[in-house]
Amino acid sequence: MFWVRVFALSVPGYHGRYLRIDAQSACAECVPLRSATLQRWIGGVGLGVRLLMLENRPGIDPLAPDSALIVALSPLVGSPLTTSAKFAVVGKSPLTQRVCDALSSSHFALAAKRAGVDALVIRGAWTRPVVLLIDGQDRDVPLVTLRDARDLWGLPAAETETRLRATLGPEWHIAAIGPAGEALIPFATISHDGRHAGRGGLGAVLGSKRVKALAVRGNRRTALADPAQVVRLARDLSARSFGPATEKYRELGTVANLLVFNRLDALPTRNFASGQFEAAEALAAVDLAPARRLARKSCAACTIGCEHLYPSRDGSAVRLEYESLFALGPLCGVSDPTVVLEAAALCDRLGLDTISTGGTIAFAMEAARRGWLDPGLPSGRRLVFGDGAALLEAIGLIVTRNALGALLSLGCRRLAETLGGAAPDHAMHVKGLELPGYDPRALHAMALGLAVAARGADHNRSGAYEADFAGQTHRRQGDHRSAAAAIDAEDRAALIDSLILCKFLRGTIPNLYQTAAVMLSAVTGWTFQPDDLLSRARAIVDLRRAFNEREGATPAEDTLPPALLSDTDDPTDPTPRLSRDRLHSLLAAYYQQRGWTPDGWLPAHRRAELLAEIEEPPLRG
Amino acid sequence: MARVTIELYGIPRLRAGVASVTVRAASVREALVALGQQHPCLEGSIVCQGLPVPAYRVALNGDLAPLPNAQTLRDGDVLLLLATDAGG
Ligand code: SF4
Repeated sequence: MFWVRVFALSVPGYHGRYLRIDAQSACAECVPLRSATLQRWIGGVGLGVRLLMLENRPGIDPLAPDSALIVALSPLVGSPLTTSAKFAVVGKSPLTQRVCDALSSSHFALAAKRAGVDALVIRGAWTRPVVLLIDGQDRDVPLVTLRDARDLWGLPAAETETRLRATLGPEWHIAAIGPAGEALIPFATISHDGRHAGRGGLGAVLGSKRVKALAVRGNRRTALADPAQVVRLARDLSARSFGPATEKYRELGTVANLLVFNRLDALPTRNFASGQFEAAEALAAVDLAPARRLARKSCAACTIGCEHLYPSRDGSAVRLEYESLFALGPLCGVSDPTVVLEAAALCDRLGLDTISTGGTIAFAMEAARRGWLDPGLPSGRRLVFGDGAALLEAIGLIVTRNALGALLSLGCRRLAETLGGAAPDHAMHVKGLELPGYDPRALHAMALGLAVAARGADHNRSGAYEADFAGQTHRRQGDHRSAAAAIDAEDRAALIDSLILCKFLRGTIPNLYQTAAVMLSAVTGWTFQPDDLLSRARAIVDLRRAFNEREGATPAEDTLPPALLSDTDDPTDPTPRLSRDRLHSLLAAYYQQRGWTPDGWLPAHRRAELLAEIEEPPLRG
Repeated sequence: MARVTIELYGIPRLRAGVASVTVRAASVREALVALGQQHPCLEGSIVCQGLPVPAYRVALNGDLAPLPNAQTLRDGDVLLLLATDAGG
C-alpha cells in the first residue's frame, strides 16, 4: 500500500473525507468530501448511495473487481445519542442488480469513525484472501495494511472476529463474511458482533474481492459543535427510550410481532399461501417464555437493548428476531421453535440472510408441491412444508451448492426463472429481493411500500405497515392515503438511515424532522431546518431511483408477485386480497405524489439535477 | 351489558399470564376498566381508568380503525389490545 495524501477540512461531526482502498492500483487514498455534499446527503445510506453513484460505472457486474463496496458512517456516530453507533454498507446487489444499502451496528461503527474517515470505499479484488487492516490509531491518515486470511477462509464471521481480536487486540473491531460470502451466494451477509448487514448479498460483493474481513481501530474523535446541547438531547432521548414505547423491544424483542400479525392475517405462511399459521401459538412460546431466554443484549451505545438470545439445541446462544422467526418458521410451515432457532443459528454461522434463505426454501417447497422441482435431498428426505429436518438440510446445501443447493443458492427469482413455466408467478420477491414478514394482501400501504422500494421488497426502507396497523389507512382498501403513508414512511426511513439512528426509537420521537434538525445542528454547527431535512430525505429516495434507472430499472419492476394479486378485493371477504387494479391505482397515486412522471420515471430535470451534483469534480488539496 | 372478549398480545399477555379475558361491558371504556380490575398488574402501565396508555390501542373485531372509547359493544365482540408500535 502507498499513499496519496489529500487535504481535507474536518467539521464538527465529520472528518470531511473518505478512504478509498483499491486492490488493482494497490493504493489507498483519502478523498475529501465537500461540506455541501455532507450537508446534502448527511451520512449513512444517503452518503453511501451518493458515493456509489460516483464510484461505480453504470451497468457494472456487482461481483466484478471494480464494483465498489462502501461502508458509510454518519455525523451522529460517536456522539452520546442513543442507538447512533451504526454503519451502512452500500453497493450494487448481486441478488437484485439494483442499489443495496444494508445497516448494521455497534463497535465497528465507532472504531471506523475513530479511524478518521466518514466512509470506506473498497474496490478491486485481491488474488488471495485478505483482511484489510485500517489503522487510524495516533495517525492523521489511516494506514491500510493487508493480513493474509487463508487461515480464516471457511470460518464463520463470529469466529473470524474472535480470532482476529485475539491476535490484533481488543481495540480492533471487525466486520466479516462467513462461508456464504466466500462462496458468492447472492444473499450473503456482512456481520459484526452477531448483527448482520443482511439484505441484498453485499457479503458476496466483499467475498468477490477476497476480503474476509475489515478490521478497524482509531482514536480520532470528531468535535461536537455544541457539546452541552448534544448532551441535553442525548439525556432526553435516552430517558424516552426507557419508556413504554420501547418496552416491547426490551422485554420481548421483535418476535412479539408474530401473534399480532397472525391475528391480523398478515403472517406469511407456506410461501404466502395464507396470512395465518395454525401453529403460531406453538412458535410464540419463544416470545412469551422469558424464562427460556438466555440473555438480552444491545448494540453499542444503545439504551433499548432489543436483542434476545435463546438457547439452541446444543446450548449455544442464538439471536432471534421476528423476520428470522417468520422466514424459517411459518413461511416454511415449520412450527417447532427449536428447529427455527437451529435454522437461524445455521444461517448466522454460514452468513446467510435469513429472509432470503427462508423465502427461497419456501418457494422451493411450493415448487416441489406443484411438481416443478424434484424435492429429493441427499439424506433421502424430501423438501416439503413443515419438515424441519429438511429445512435444516437445505440450508446446509446452499453454500456448498450440493444437489438442490445449486438451485437454492440462486435466490427465489432466479430459481423460478430456471424452473420456467408458471414458477415465476409464485416466487415471492420484488426486484429479486425476497419478501419480508408482512403479507401485503392484508396491509395495502405496506404492499405499495414493498412494490416501490428501491432495494426490493423491504420492510426497513418502507415502514408503511405502521399506517396500516395504526388504522390511519384502510389496510384492506388502500387508496391515495395509503400512497401518502408509503411516501411518508419511505422519507422518514431515508432520514433515519442517514442520521443513522435505530428505527426502534421511532415511537419516542414525535416530530422526526424537527428533532433531527436540532440534533444535526448541535452536532455539526450547520443550521438544519425540518423542511430542508424532508427535502434531503426525498432526494435520497430519488437518488436511489436514479441509480436503479441508470442500471436499467423500469417502473414495471414496481410490482408484487402475480400470485399475490387478485381480480377483486372486497374488504368484507374473510380472506384479505389485493387486486391488480388497486395496486395500479396505488402506484399512480404514489408517482403523482412523489412528483415523478405518471408512468413512474424520475422527471428528466430531477435526474439531471441529481447527476450534476454527483459529477462535480472532486476536491483536491 | 355485553359479554366481550379482550385478546392480549405481547407485554399485556406476558404480565397477565393469559391470552384473553372475558368481561361484561357496555362500552370499550367499561371493558378496559373491567380488564384493569381483573388484572391489576395491567392497571396504570397498560390501561388507566378505562383508557389504553399511549403506547397501546384497542381494535374491535380485527378492524384497526381508531375506536372511540364510548363505542358501545355487543355480545360476542372481540377487542384486541395492541401495542401502537406494531412491526419492526
Ligand atoms: S434497539 Fe436493538 S437494534 Fe436498535 S440499536 Fe438497540 S439493540 Fe441495536
